[in-house]
Amino acid sequence: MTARLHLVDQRTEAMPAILDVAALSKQFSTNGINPVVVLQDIRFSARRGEMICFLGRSGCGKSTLLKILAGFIPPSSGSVQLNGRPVGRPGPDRCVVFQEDALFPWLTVKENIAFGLKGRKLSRREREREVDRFVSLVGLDGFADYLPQAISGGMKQRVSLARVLILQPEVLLMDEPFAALDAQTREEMQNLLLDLWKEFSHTVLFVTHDVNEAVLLADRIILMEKAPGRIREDITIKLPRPRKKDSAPFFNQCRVMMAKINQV
Amino acid sequence: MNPFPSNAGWVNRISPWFLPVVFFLTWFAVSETGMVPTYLLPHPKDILAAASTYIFSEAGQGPYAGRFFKDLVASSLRVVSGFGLAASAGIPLGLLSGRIAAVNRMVGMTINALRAVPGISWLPLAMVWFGIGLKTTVFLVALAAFFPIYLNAEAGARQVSPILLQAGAMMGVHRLRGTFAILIPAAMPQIITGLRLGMGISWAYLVLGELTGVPDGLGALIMDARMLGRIDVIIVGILMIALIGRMCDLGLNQLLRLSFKSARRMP
Repeated sequence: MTARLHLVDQRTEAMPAILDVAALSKQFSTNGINPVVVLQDIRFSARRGEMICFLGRSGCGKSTLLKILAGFIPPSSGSVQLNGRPVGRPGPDRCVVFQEDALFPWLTVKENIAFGLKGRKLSRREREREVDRFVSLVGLDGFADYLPQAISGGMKQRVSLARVLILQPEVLLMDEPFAALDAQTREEMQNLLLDLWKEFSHTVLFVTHDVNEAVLLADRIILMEKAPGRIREDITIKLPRPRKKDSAPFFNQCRVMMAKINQV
Repeated sequence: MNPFPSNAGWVNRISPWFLPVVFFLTWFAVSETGMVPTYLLPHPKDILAAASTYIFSEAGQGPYAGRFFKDLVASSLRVVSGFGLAASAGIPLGLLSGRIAAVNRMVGMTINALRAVPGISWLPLAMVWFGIGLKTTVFLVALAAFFPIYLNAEAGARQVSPILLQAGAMMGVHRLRGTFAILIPAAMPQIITGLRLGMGISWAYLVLGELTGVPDGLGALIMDARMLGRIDVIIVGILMIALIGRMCDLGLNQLLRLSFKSARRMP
């Protein structure tokens, strides 16, 4: 297990950048006179298969950054390139898992997961097999025919994960996806995400304000400060995986991060 | 939640009939005592006799005998045509206006100004334009049913959570497919409310349209009976419209539930 993880680490080191963000800034102006600078001169790149956490207090623009990367809102200046091409409107190469419930309430768990596959060239049987596989992968066997209103918040986020992973996105954008869940469910979901990441090794950009969560998940933590939203520090987390939340190195790393975030 | 779980099903089944039965019994009692003269309110059994003649007797055996099916067909055709026109204009325009600010700015003021005009004001104009009969009635029904259908579709489209549309967009579902796969299902509860209101209003304006002297239809029946002082036939007409209107409402609901997943699974 450790050998394989080691390999993954080496591979990500060697991988070229998949996502490049350069000199990105965003300002909102309500009246045109006093624009609010939400993001200023954001630059970073992500390698294929990397898990990057954006850590910062509320108001530092981390969610806005994710919305720009997803294509929901345009940047004021700067560029976002995926595989060397500038990104435009939202698309299945950059899928989002939202914090709030964004499932279609009139579709069952299975139908929600199948939603994005509808336009693809797949036979009905292939599609059904694929959907069943992802229902299992996120641990929802037996719940495939439930409507969203009948399942818990944690299960809804499992569906949200499955419906985007099935589309094989280049980059997975996660906007505090587990913040609304209780502590135990959050931990389950973090482990599920790590398991799926090990299996698919997609690139993940994960926004959070939870230091523990960031240290548990991230290859790199990008620490953000607010007013204006800027990158303060880009920290590589070298803890070996699987990480144990009750181990001394993990605890120390969290303390270091906590100290850094308190200076912001 | 339910305090009487054991007989809840039974109570739920008969409770819609409680008011009609009380109403009918009161009517019956009042008529038996002779408190109200029969030229104002005939006895229920006279109404029943009039209804039976109207529905089952052979045509030509007496006034109003056997006219029911001809009237029913004529009225239904007018309602369905008018309602269909209203729905096929009101839903698309409402959805567009609810989602696209430019469309809303362009049509909103005009539609809301026209909405302020009582339907009956159009009657003289409609008679001049379309003459007496099918076209005038269909015009009035369509005009009246349009507004609730349009307004509810607009409100429904406007209230669709933007996050659902964003979720669709990031999964590669844009514009036209998004309209059918996300916008319409998400706005379905309001669309259905609009259609049901529109259907109700259609029957109201049907009678208005048929008051103009058309030879057949349930509204014509009522108007004709008024001229001849046949209170029993007027009441038969009213009861028929209540019955058929309710059946149309149920039928519309069933049809929508059959056709749309989102209507079946409405919370």
